[in-house]
Amino acid sequence: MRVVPTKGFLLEFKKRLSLIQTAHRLLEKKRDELVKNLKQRINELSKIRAEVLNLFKTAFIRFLRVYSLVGRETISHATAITRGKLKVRILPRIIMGVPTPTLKIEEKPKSGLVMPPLVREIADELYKILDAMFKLIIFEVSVEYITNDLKRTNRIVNVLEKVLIPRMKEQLRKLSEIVEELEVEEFIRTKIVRDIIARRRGE
Amino acid sequence: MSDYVVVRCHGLKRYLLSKEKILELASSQSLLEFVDKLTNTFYAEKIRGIPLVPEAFQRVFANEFYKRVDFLYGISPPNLAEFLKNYMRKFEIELILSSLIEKLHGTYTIMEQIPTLDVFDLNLNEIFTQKTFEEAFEILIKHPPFNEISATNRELILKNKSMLLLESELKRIYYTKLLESIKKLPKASQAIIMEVTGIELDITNVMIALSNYLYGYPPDTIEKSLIPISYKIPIETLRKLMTTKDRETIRTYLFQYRDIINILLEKGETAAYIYTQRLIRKKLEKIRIEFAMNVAFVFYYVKMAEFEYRDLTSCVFGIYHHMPFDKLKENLILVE
Repeated sequence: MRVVPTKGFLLEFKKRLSLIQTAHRLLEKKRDELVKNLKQRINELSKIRAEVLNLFKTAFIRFLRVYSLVGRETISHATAITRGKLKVRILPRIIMGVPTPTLKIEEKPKSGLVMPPLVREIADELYKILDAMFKLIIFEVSVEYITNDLKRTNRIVNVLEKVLIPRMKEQLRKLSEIVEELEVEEFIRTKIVRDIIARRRGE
Repeated sequence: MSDYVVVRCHGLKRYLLSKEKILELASSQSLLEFVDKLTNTFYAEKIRGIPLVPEAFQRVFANEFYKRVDFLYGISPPNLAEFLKNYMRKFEIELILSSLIEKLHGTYTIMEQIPTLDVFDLNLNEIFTQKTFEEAFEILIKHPPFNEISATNRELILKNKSMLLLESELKRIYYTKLLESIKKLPKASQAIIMEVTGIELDITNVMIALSNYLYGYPPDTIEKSLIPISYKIPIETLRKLMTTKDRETIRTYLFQYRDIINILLEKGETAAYIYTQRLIRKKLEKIRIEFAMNVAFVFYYVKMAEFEYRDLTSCVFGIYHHMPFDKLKENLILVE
């Protein structure tokens, strides 16, 4: 930045510093909120992970039970007659000013009644896991996005706090000194000129 | 004539595996150990040299079961033979449906896996060798009793390739024929065989009717799948159950099967299925003692052989996939 030692520039510089300090305070608040939010999300994430893991364990045991009762063929036939596709839409969502993607299930494959009674029990269980997995994915992605934003915010806050603001304060101090000196110099010069003019007039 | 079959069943019964043996087999850590434990049984010769995969074992167990019934079919008087044929149709239907689903999705079963037996109405090879679903279906409806599928339903099945409707129709035929043939058996045996068959029929229908409550399936789809025959539960009651969401209403309507329904609602279909099979096994134990010299004993032997086939299949799949012993034990019908 080109520094011009004038009073106008000094005022402009002070305004700029004040603006940067306000931004710094706001970013600090944002960082604190992000940390708080992230902590909550990480806690929740570990709960969801445990839930999903439990669902997987239960479903796996149930799957093995049904699998051992009906055999591979029946299950593969049941999966072969499943119709439709899993359609998922990715939508944007703003969390604390951070744009994070979220998923919306638009269509699930239809197993319907074509599945034999025992197999549809596993299908139902797996659909529950699918829902839980989507919840987990959304949470994991939001944690990743918030973490990235936190890193970025923290970097900015640190740069402002450790580099830019101290440097600007220093510049402001020097600039104030120079402007003050120039003002004194100007005042003395004016006084001397006035004295010279007064002497010439013979006063 | 039927006395001879009953006596043969008493003799054949000693080849069935004991509960202790089934439990010992279920405790195997690997299929190799399972094979070792089977070597001193009836299956020793049958499993020699087969690949160590559950499907291969399942085929052996299924074929042995079919052959056991096929043998009885060959020596039975007409009324009993008709009953055995009608009973075995459920396995035939399973194979037919399995083949038709494969046709719909373009996969084909290897020829040597298809059992051809006298006790089956169809030469299953005819169905299995067809290239398309339509061709296989045309073959199916030419043969009695499958030719009893109504013209309207035939059209709908072909037009929509609806396995749902086809399965429902085949089950209707199965139960109609089975119940008819039970009535031709000696009076003393009819009631107990009817009771066991009736439980199976009712529970199958209950599971279909409660699909809306259990999984939220649409009632119109459920209506199509319902078998239009019943034993203790009127069809009208089943229709009412298709839309109900209240547990107490379900329990009230199905008071005849209170225990099974409680397990179905609390623990799910698999647990209810096992419980039903065990309940049937207990009823069959009554036959063993009370009807030792009656046609019902043949039914007892067939059902026990079927349970053995199902338990052995459960064991091989469970062991192959390292299922915990306590969970595998929960799946066994012959062991409690």
